[in-house]
Amino acid sequence: MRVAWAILRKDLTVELRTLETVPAMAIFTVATFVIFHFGLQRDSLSGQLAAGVFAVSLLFAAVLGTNRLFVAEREQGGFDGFLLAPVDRTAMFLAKSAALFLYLTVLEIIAVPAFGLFAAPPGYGGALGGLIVFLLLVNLAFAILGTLVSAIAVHTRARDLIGPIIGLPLQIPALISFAIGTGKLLAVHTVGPGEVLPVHGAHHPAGEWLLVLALYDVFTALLAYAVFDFLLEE
Amino acid sequence: MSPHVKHLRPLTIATLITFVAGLSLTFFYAPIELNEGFVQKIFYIHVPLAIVSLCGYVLGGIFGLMYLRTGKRVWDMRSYCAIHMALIFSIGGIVAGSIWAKAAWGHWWVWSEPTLVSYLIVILLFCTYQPLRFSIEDPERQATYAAVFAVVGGAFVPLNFIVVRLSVQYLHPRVFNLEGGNLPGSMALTFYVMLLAVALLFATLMKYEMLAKETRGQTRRLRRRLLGDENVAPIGRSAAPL
Amino acid sequence: MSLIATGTDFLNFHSSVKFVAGAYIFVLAVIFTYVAIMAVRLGRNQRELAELRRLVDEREAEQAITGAGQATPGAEQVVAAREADAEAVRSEHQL
Repeated sequence: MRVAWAILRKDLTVELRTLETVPAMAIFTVATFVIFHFGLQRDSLSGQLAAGVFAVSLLFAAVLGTNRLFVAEREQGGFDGFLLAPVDRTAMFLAKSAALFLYLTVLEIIAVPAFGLFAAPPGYGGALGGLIVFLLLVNLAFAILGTLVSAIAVHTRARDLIGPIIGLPLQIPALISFAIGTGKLLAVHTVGPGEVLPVHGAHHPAGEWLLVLALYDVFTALLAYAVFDFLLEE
Repeated sequence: MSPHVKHLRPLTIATLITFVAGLSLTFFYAPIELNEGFVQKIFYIHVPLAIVSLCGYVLGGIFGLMYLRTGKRVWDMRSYCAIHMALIFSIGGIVAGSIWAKAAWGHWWVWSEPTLVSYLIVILLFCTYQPLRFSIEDPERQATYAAVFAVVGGAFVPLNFIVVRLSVQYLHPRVFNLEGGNLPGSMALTFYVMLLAVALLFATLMKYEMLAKETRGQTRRLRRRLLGDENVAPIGRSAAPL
Repeated sequence: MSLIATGTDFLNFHSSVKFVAGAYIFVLAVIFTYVAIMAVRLGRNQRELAELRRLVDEREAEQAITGAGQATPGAEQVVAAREADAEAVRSEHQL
């Protein structure tokens, strides 16, 4: 745990000093919103359409972040140092997925208001609470799978290519649940964060998708935890 | 013969007999289905292909797991051959399925059919298996990473089907229900014979491919011994094991 | 409702034959193409392997003749090389 924290702190310090990843992701997402505006020719998006645009923009940003995740380790020999140290390999997985999770969260702090500004979905403010719950869960899926895929891709020759093509199909189930769930949120106005949770009788249609997304998170986390060690062996 | 490929000849003969039997049953024994008519005959090939290829992916994952546990290269080769064959079967299955969709429903592609959609996603995922292997030069690392991919992919197959099926249930009412279910006896018999035939075909072709890979490896080794390392062209990067 | 048709008047029997034939021909074509490619490759490799084996045997026989009188290091080398090769093959399969 302490090792994971040390790696995470190192990553965050590097990110804060260089500002390489998160700003790029944010610019990319906002640019995607603009592109969608011209592609769809709509001033305002709602319901499933809004959810789809938002989900795809986030996914693209996640791909960008994923590609950058292990770059420092590869270029500056961080892997060797890590492998030499007598520490648990899982620490690397924890730290990297936590870093990606944080990047995505910071990105969304920018992207959610930007989406409200550019796409102006009706009832956006009301759905915000539920949206945040969904965002946290989808970030988790993106972070776990992103770390796994990035660790696979980083040692390949065509790493910028291999990462996304493996990652996108694996993220489809998370994307499906996120897009349909938030689509339902944006279609039904004014939902508080509490109402979405299935604990409260699962009345809201988005609640089921929250459950699917959460199960997918758990499943991918277990899977990634089980296989990640093999990716760090020399 | 190679130490890992045994009983290739009896397997081949069994495959041929079952396949011919299955095709004969399909066209001469199984009755023509009332709703769809003759088109339903496609069902006897595309569904077995799909089922066997999905099992092939899962099998590739299990072999990958065996490689990770034991470190024996033969498991890597089995995993590779299983996924390779499953990919070829998938392409046959999805095209035949698409033709069936066109004939039965009037569209080449139907988004509301979850099996079709999740199948496409699985194919998209496993299409990246070869490029992944190809882009890792060190053979040991190639085998390990491919095994990790195979395990993740194999576990992803059933999960993906569940999520896609849920999504279709929520978005559209299920209209079509043609994956077996309550087939009359003669149709069920035909279907199972075809399923067995396709499964045998998978096993045969997989062994066949393993034999080819092992022969290639032996040839390369002998050539190197005979002519010396410097006179043999370097292997070159390859997606295949060995 | 029975799924089995008893009548003979199927609406579009002729158009459906086209689809069924298309599907089966495609599947069989894919499989046969694969088998053909594999057969060509395997045949080539097996011929080459046989040729190489013949060369190895010839060379060994040659060395055995030339080194018949004296206790040649050649013959021993051949034996050693052969054992090393067998070992390599074994280890590769078991590793």
